[in-house]
Amino acid sequence: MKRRKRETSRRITRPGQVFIICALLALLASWNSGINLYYLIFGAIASFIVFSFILSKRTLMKLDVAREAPHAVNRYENFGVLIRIANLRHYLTVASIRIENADARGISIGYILSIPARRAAQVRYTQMFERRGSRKLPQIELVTSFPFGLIEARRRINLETEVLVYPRVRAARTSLLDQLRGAGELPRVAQGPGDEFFSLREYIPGDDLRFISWRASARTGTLYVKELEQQTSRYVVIVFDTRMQASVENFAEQFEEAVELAASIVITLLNRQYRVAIVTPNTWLREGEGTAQGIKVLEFLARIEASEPDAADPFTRALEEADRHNASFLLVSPDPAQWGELLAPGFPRVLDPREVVYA
Amino acid sequence: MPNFSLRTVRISLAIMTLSGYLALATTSMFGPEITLIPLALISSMRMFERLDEKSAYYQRISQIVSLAFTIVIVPYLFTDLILGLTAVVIYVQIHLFLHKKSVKEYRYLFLMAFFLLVDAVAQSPDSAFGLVVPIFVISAVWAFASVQIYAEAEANKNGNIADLLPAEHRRGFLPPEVAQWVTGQRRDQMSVAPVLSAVSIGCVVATLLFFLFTPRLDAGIFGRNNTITNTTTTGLDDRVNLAAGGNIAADEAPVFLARFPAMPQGQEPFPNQPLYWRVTSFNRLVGAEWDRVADDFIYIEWRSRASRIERAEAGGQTAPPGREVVQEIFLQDTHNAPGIPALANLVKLFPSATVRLRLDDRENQTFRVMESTSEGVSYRAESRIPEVPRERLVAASGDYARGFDGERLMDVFTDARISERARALATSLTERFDSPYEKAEAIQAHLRDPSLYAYTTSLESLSSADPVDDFLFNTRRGHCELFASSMCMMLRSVGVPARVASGYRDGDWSATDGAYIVRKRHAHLWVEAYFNNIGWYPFDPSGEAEIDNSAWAVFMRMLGRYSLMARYVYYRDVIGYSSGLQLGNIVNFSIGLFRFDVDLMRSSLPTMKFFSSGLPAFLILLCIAIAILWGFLMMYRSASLKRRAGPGLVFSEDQIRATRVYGLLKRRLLALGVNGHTVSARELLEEVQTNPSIDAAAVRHILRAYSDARFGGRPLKRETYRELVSALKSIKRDPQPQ
Repeated sequence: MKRRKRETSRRITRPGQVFIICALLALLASWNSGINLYYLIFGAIASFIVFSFILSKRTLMKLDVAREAPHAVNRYENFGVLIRIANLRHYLTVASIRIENADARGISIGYILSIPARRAAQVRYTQMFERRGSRKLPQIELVTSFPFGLIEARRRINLETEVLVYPRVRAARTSLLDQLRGAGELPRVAQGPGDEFFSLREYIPGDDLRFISWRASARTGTLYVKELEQQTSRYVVIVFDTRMQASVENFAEQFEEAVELAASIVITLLNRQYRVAIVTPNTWLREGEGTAQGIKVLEFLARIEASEPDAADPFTRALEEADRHNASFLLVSPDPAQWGELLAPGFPRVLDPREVVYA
Repeated sequence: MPNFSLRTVRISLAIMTLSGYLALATTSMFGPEITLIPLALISSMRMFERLDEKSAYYQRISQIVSLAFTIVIVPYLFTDLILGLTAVVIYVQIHLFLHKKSVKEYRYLFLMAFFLLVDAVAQSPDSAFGLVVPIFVISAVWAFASVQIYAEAEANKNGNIADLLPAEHRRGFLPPEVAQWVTGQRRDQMSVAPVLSAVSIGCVVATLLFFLFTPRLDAGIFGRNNTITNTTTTGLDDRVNLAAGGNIAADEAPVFLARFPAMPQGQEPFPNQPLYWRVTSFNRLVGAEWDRVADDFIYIEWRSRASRIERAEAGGQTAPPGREVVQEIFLQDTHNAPGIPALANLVKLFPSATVRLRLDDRENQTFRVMESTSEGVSYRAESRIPEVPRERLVAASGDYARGFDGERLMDVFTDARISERARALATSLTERFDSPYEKAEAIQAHLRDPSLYAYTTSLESLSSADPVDDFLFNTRRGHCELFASSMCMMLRSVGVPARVASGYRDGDWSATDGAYIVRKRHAHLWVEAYFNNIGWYPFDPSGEAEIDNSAWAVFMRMLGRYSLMARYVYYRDVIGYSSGLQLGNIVNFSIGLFRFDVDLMRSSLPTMKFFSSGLPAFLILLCIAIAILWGFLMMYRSASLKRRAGPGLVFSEDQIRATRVYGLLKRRLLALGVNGHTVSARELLEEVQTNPSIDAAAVRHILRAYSDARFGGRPLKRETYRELVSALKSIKRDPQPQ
């Protein structure tokens, strides 16, 4: 973790203002009357103010702050961020420290009652991003008004923490998925003649119920499905038309929806053990399967941007690159005018997001 | 976590509040008894907080009390600002203590404690105040720090509170599910204690440093000058300073109340005669100050006998002829009073059972309160108002060598320390008279001449060397002290023994109360001259002071009168309560077991009458007190029946009745051997159905009504409730005949 540049400021709280007014009145009374006891009162009030002024800032010094967050998260997904604060002092305890977002003052994201000398405290808070892409976590501030609540000190902690925000993924179901080659079938791995070796995996919503292994499920208490012979036809190419369309109203929003749809479709297919590739006007993400491919796809889709309107037609490219006999194609477009349309002979219709059912 | 912080807040608040009251206790106006207030508040705080949470009636009563207090205190602030503000601060403290508190209310309480400290400073506390200040500072450090931690913890209690990592975990992060709390959050908070202790000491030291090194400003910010800026109020004092100038504001506060039981009720006893209520007298003027000189020599003997003090005739002295007048006096406040008032020529004094008086000064006849169970004292005085024919007064001889006992006292009462021109003036006024009385009359008439001297309560400072001379020849205006002093000195200069008497003149007759109400503005000084074979005879050379008849003054007089009467009734009927069982009626029981002097007992103990008029009043008060307590108890019970299941969920009256009848049902069934406290209503009904001695139909009826009202929103009226309660009695079946 990178270390921070210090920025500390102080302000007088409302009780602090009352204290200062009382101190001034006591001083005025003592000067006007000459009564020594009023000087005593003034001294008591002034001592509080002085100690507040000194201790509030010193409480925030000699603190080592570090932050940890996941490398990648999904859009709209709450994820936990850890902040660790270590008291580097040898003897003195620090107390009553509040952690706030530098961008949202007054809203506490964590509170530390006290940290003894040479100890550390850790606080976890949740964060969410509404936009995909590479995002930086907001800076944090340590705030304290210890000991008396008269003066509030703030110290800005500059920690550069980046998080990659994937598009939101939801398990999707659409009629077009059911029409894919190999749809409903699960790959089977056979070993040796006469041996019927089959593998089991956990049930994923959308799997065909005919392939549930009831015996294994009853034994374990969890639903399992049988894996059948792997079909080479379980290969899907997602054709994503990212070209900017001026005629599309709210193109940015539609584009995000299309990215989300593409991500959801890809992950759903990968979970069903399809091999998936993505084609855009500018990019060809080779086919792959499993979790690794899912991460690649999500990282790709996290950073994807709209292409120029005159970019290459992704459908043509898909036809050139993919094995038409083995691959199935799914078309995703941010243009509502194309939803459900047949753009090219031999291709399925463009996916209509309105027909997608999310789990 | 907040529990520990809250406990620390409460403890430090208690100490801080107590130290504020201790500071007040070091002032002369308050005594250590005032510390009972914070002790009572601290001990009852939790109980009233719960009551505030549960009872809406309590909150309403509290609002009414606050309103009443506001109405009462606002006008009082104009009478006595410091005492009024003290009352306001104490009331606010009481109100906050007895209600549930948030962080804001705790801070207000700290502020109130601070105001008490400032209040004490304004009233010149004694040296014990120096011990209170460090206690206050230390408790304030803990109070403010713990409330700051408590506030933060409360604000974040639904948020993320940090985990303290184990000591050996010095680097990196721990998964949240693995991170361990240090056992007991208290340890976290106790680790703050050394810091706060150090801060406490630091604050005390810093307070001292500020006190020592804050620059002083001797001249005062607004400057000081020699004009008449000091203001005093009317009233008596132990000493009289003639040279002090200033404005004497008329103080309408009542001092005492005087009744004349032997006179016809309803009529003013002395409509056309000025009354002089004598407290003490001064017989020596040194420079500008009067004081008293007393001697052991007894020239008029006073004897204390059981419950009365009476004047004895001695040495051939006779009291001046006059009529005996009996007065019943209630003196409101004996604090710092130079003596107790009574009409002049006191013959007998009967203090009440709760008061002990003593004769402080025979020569000047000053009686003081030695012991009293309250600030107000009540006593009966018998005085002889002189009614001496003028001829006899004029005939009194001026030969004092034989009339006065002892040369020393003669020297005191004839010590005329005045200037030569004042002496010459006195001589010129009196040279044509032989009689001491006529000489006194002449001097009095001279001073009373409005063309020569003016009566005023606002004047500049006089010469401290000879204020009498300054008054007689320079300023020619002054108040009663100057008039009386001048006449006294001039009389002495022509050989007539004289002294200055201090007390009150006249009073406000209240026909409603049948008493004179004497106020501080009636304080007065006059002259007493001694005439052979007559004694001390009063003269009053002062003019009449103007009475302020403005609406405000009239209102203050009325307010003071009610206050005085209330205290008088309290003192008479509570402090001076003497009704009840007559011991003398059962004295025969004691004979044979104990031997004691019945007469002595009867004279020294208060008499009590069996079935006297005081007993019914006492019983009525007792009943009212019980009724009030019962009302609070009912409120608390009613509130405790309302179970709050969550924010905004409060039982309706129907649900309360349903719950009550269900409770009664369970209790009845328990008496019949069916324990319904750990089962649901349905299970209870099943169990009842298996018990032949219980009418299951009746139980079912009650449970249905309960369920409909409690959960179904159906009403359960009072009549229905009564029917169900009476149905409870019939759920026990008689055993079937064999």
